[in-house]
Amino acid sequence: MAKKSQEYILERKVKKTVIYLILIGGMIITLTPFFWSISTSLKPRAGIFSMPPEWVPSEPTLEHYGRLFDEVDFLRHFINSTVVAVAVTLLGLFLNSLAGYAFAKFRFPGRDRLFSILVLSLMVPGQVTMMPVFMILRSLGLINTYTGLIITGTISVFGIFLIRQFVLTIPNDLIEAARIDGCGEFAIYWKVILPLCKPVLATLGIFTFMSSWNSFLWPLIVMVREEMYTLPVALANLSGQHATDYGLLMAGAVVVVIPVILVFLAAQKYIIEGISTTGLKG
Amino acid sequence: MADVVFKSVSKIYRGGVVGCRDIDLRINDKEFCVLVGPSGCGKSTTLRTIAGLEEVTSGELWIGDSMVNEMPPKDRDIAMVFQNYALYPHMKVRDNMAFGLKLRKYPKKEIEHRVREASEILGITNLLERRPKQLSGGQRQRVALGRAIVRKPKVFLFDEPLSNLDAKLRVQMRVEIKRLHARLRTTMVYVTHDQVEAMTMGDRIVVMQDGVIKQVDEPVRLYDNPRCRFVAGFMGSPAMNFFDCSVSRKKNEDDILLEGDGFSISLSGIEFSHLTSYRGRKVTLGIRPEDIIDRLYSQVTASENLVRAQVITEEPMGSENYIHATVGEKNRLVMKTSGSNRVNMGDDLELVFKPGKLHFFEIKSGERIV
Amino acid sequence: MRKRAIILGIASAGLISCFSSHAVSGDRRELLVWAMGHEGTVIREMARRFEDENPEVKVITQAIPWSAAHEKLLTCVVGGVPPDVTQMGTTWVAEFQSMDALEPLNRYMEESEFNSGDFFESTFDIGYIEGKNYGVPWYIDTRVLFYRKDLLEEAGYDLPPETWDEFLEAAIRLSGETPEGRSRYGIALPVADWQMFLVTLWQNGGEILDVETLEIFVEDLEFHGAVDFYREFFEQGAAPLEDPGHELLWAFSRGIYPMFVSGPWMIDQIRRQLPELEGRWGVGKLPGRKTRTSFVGGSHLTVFRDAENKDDAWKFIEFMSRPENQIQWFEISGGLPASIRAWETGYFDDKPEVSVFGRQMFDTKSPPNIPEWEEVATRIDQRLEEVIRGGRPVPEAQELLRGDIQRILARRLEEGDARVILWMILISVVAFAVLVAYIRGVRIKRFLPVKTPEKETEYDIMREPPGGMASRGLQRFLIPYFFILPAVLTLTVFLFLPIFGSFLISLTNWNIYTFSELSNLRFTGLSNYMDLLNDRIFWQALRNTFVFSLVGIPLNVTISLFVAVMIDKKYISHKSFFRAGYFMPVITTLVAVAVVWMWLYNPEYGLVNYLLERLGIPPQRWLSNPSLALPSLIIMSVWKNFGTNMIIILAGLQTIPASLYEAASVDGADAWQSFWNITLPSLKPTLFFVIVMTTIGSFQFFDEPYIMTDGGPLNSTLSMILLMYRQGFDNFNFGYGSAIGYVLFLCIVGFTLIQLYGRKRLQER
Repeated sequence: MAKKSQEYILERKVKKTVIYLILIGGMIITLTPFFWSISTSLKPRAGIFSMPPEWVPSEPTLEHYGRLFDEVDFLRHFINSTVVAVAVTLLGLFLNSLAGYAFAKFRFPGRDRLFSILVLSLMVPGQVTMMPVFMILRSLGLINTYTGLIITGTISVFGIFLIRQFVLTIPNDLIEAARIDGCGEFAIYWKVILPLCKPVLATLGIFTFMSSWNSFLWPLIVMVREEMYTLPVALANLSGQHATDYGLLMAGAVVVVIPVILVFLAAQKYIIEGISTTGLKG
Repeated sequence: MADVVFKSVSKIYRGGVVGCRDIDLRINDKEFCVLVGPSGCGKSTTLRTIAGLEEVTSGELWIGDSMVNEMPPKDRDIAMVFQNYALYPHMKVRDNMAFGLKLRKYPKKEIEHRVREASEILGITNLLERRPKQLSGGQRQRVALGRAIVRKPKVFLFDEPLSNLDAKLRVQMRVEIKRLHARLRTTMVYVTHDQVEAMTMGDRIVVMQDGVIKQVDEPVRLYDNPRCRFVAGFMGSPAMNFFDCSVSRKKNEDDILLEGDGFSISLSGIEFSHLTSYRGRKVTLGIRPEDIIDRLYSQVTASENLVRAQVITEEPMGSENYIHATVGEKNRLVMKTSGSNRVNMGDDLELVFKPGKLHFFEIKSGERIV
Repeated sequence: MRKRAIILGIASAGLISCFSSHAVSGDRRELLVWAMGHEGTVIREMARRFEDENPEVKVITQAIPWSAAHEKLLTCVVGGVPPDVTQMGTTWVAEFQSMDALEPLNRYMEESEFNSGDFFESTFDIGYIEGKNYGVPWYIDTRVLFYRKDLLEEAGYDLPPETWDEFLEAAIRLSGETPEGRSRYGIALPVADWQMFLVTLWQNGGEILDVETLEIFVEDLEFHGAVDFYREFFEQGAAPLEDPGHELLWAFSRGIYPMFVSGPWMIDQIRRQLPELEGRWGVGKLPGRKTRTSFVGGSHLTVFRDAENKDDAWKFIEFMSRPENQIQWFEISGGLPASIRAWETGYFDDKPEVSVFGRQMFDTKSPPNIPEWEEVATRIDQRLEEVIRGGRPVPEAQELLRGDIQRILARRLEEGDARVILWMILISVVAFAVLVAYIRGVRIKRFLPVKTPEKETEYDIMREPPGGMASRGLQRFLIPYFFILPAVLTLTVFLFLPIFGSFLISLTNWNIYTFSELSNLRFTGLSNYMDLLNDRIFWQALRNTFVFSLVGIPLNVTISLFVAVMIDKKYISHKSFFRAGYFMPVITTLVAVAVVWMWLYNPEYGLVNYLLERLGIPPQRWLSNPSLALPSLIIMSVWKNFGTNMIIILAGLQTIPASLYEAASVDGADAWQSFWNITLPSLKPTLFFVIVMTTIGSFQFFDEPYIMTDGGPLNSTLSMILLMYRQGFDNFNFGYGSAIGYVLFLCIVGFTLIQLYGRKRLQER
């Protein structure tokens, strides 16, 4: 009996070790590209093409980062990206949650049909509408403005959907209690619903921020002047047609990616919570 | 002042579902009025029309001097306690209680004072800085009460506030709410499906079924004089026993003879004269469990009108004992005896129905035969 | 705190969005100059020199990413916000000219000291369209022969081949095996490459078509001869029929390809990357037959018609065309001068390899100057491949090609039709009526996904909403509409209207000619959709999209399920660490990721090839080998995206009650059995959700091929969306492109419905 249980414990230990090894191994593979880009961005120009490749640069240098801000004015692009992504996220959270709440907790003629049309539009590939949207922006005089980029990125059907799913789980009692307590309809949304939606807002917020921060094609089209380019566009500009400055490019990639990673790490807890409470899991 | 008056109020939901119909009711100022009935009977709907959470489809609803049919909830000067407490999870207890006052722009000092006062009344001063999540069910209930109290509304509404509590707490809170009423002297409307709560708490009880008021009365009168079979069966635990029986005149006498499956009882006296007109027809006989007496344990020595029954099982409660038994082929009854009166399954009993405690109802309509 | 933060955020966002991009330039005139990619960056240097000479002008240079230059220019023209001076690829000049977007420069040329005779004729002519000049050559590139001196000497050639016969003979003689035992081919020649074929055709005295009369010559004998010669390399084994996928420079250094034809940038690359070959390689003019014509490419500088500062724009162009500045530009960027006088300065005399390009330039041609050229070129590639790989007889291919070209050119002769407006109005009215009827609640069969109640929360729709309202009357009725108004209004303007608009466009012939003249628009009904059925490239894109989905989705879901189950094991601590690590790729910018992966996949310096080489596997051209490119993108895309699914599955796993596992282990189930009998069945709804979402994502596969391969090589990574996008923004066929978009939309809806149906069936069981 004792022997049996010892064997059992040993087996458990072996299993645990194996799974840890697999997980860590997988993670190394997953993170290699990140490591490699950071490593390359720190190598002096001469060392980049060395064979066999250097994993850790023997003479690390920050020259590429310096050039990034001297030659390309990455700071300006960084500001552009930040302004757009922050505005899109905050405005988007506000307006999408307003609509999502209404779709979840009010009854009004046409609600369900309208909502089904929204959901159907999720399946239209975005590129189909690029040219018409551009024309509309142009007629509104919003080409090459932050506003143009913000207004087209703010409302997301997915966001409305997500918020609606979450708000459905909020008991009606709370809303009724607030009405009796003397809240106006907007105050109910602002003082009761919004604070309760924190997890889903965090999830949606980070996804909105990420997709705004990361988007490339649309900002490229909308922003005519280089000084209005967002980071990914500026980054794409660093690659040449035939030859490419990899050190600079990798440094650029690192600069573009780091803020999103930081935002993600900060909000990680909420994201998980949000995903598990919104019925996103199916 | 703050009486609540329903003038043939109906609430019909879309799709024709009836919430409540033709409610005519006056709830007096400072009264503790309990709406009771099985789930789906419309008691909550009725309460919610007072709160303004349901729109009245037709009729008039008055609170005090104003007709409130169109008035939004916040202007009705009412407070409501919900079954699930409906505390705002993101606010501290203090803020939960102060929320309604803040929205009404009370001065800070006044808010502070009222919250303190209410929390002292409810004994929750030590919980003010916590959040609802950190409280037990009973504590939440108190906070929900507190949130209503601080507003000093004209009318308090309670929507099954105790049904999420365990039995012991429920009893305790019952007393406390009652005490609160005594202290505040405000109109309170209380919805419950639990007839014990209704009996113990209400100044008056409104029994509802299928969206309609069945009877409005003080608790004891309701218990003693149920106006229909439904009310009779609903109030009281264990519930009243019902037997169908035929009415006939006893041979050569003026007495009335009731014959049912496995029993026959003859009744005499003026108090049963109303049954005379039912001779040759069937009626429902009702008798409460405590009005059935085991001949062995009582002073009754009569040898007639005995009902023979056979024990199925017993539920000893300590101070009393509920005995379930069969009468005849199909009839079943429950009787309440003292706790010392123990029986075994299969025992034969000889029972006596207290003659003054018999209730008679029409079979079809369930109306009390008066 | 939080509330204040939000208000602050919105306020500041609004504030910042007000400050737009007005560059303050004082009293200096602004000149906006656009150039592509790296050139757009280094042109700053030239701009500085120009400013020294013209202090009253402030030059604003701007770099446009190469990968998106075409669409960028197009949107600027359409948007009416063009720069003053623009770099333009040689084949683009005709396109933008036909859209009436370019300013003729003749007036400026006459008024300045500019002399058109200073330029190589072939390249100057690229800007010459319909009797006017629309562009001035900036720098050129042309194709010459790169060869291994040592290997040619071994084969008995002291000099590179000069004639077709010598060329073919040398190529055949050089073929065989390398010392390492690999197959050796005389020349690296792609099976279908219209540039190389065009060179062959020109050398044989042929042409594709006459730009003026639009007469088509592809059925001429010269064309036949050129095809025969081109095919000969493959038939003789002197060029690979099936691409072995070697990286060009690597193969050159190992003698797998002793010869190849390429442009000037290769000189630098060979020097830098293959220093060991120093002295063992050379560059020569292309061998020839009737002529030794080569292909000319490069870039022009043009002025847009809507440009604000045309005078200074011309000044800048003139400045850039001066010989000394052309040489300066070469020093800065490596771009070869387009000015003959720059070559005559003697500057290039000590650069033997470069000067070969100068000599070759005198004998060059450019493809026909028509806006439809890209499309014609695609057809040439297609027919060429059919002949060489598919064995189609040459005359038959010639006839088919003629038909192809005629159809493409026929479009410019199509006449507009004013009735298009009536059609549009009619369709709009019908669509609007249907929409209103639907929203008003006219019953249709409830087939929409959201209408199928799938789980409890879906039934919540039916649940009574909370009672009461804080206001009364009309206001109360309107409140929910107020709440959805901002969202719905924005969506209407920026989503629903555009969706509908592009649907209308898909019913027309909207193409390059409607850009310049809207009256060319015609209502074509479903003919765009019918044309799709006969479009080989469309089918290829469809196939690629399906392959991507059918391989990618299972891979993605399996990996994410595997990782999620591992992380979920109760004896694994640091769960959030693993979760974050595996999720990392999801949150990163695709552009950045693409850059890194292109570097990893790089044939010479890439980590992937390095690791494979350690295992003894020869290096692969991951992204430029037609059979490897799609798998490479699939791998990258799975890497990038599986984290999302992993997190969703993890959330699903956490809802499985532990008691189920405990019961199973009491019943004696091992880990595998409990996975199979408990985990998987409990995860069913989650997995369905994951699969549906991944499918929608896969069908919209676009970013990766767009940024990394541009659909190539040989359309092997061309997805539906990319094809749609290319049709619109590269070929200006917006009608056709939109039609592709809607076919794709139907595919996605269909697929989703099938999956929902399958799910329902599974649940019923």
